[in-house]
Amino acid sequence: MKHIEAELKRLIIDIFELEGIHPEDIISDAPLFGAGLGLDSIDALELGLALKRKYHIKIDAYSSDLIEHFASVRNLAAFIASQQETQIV
Amino acid sequence: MSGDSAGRAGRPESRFGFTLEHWALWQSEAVSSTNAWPSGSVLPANGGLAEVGFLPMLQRRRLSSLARAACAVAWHCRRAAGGDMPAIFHSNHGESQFYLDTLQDMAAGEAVSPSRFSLSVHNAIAGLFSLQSGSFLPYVALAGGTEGIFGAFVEAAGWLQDVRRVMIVCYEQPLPAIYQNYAAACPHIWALAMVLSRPAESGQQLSLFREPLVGQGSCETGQPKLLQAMLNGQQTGCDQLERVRWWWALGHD
Repeated sequence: MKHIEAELKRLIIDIFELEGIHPEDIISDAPLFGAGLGLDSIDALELGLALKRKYHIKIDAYSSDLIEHFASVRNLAAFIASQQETQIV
Repeated sequence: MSGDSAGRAGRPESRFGFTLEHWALWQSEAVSSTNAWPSGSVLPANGGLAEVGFLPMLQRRRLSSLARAACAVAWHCRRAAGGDMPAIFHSNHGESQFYLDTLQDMAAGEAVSPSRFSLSVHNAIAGLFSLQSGSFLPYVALAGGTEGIFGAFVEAAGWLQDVRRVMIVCYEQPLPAIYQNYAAACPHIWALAMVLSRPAESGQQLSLFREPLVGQGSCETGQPKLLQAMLNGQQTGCDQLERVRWWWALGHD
């Protein structure tokens, strides 16, 4: 899961063009949206699209767990790992 | 302001007068501005990317080259004017690269980038600037038509019936190659902001005169001549569009 977290940090910096921010500056369990990194709702959609492309996972926009999955890099990594397991099975 | 229509011989003519309180101009190519009109600034070309260091990184990251240009001139004018005011944003084609990208993604059956889409709408730059400056005043985004940038002045004249001053922000960039056979070319990115108020006894007076053309005029391409005139201190001149000629004169008191 650690390697997914590292990949996600790189991906977030790239897609949001976060000048001057390095992967190690993003704390795995800090909030991604609002207070933490300061990303907004459009960024959430953009990130969802990037995750679909990179990990070929399905994201159910109506799932009530979605806010929890997108809360932090750690949660997202766990969500991606669980989706990948589902696909392998 | 005098927005009278003479209507001589069935040809409506219009005059508009403003006090030009301040202006700011940016072009992606370096220009000489030693003789530029007074009460304004020509912002440094900065290697083709307008300087927006006044914005926090999270706000900068969404700005295209065009949006940076528009926000930079608007920011400078607003600061020089020392306060907030309603604003009129004007562009013929806006974020043409963004909406072309979106259309091409759709044509290829791919998912559309949400942020690219949100930034491609015509009022995106006006919206970003109102967020950056924390403004709660009215903002409008006009798409240019047959009056070119002078459409923004007509709008401003209307607003000045109600408010003391207004800012216009006009901006354009070269169109993607695919569109270039269908519209007048703009050689580089430029943005112009002006703080306008009603005609007054003192201050620079900017007069505009609209002359409708009979038959089909030859539309001049490139950036408006008004911009070049501002840079080299030319105080009268005109821009010719397809169906209309707009004359301007700058007077000092």
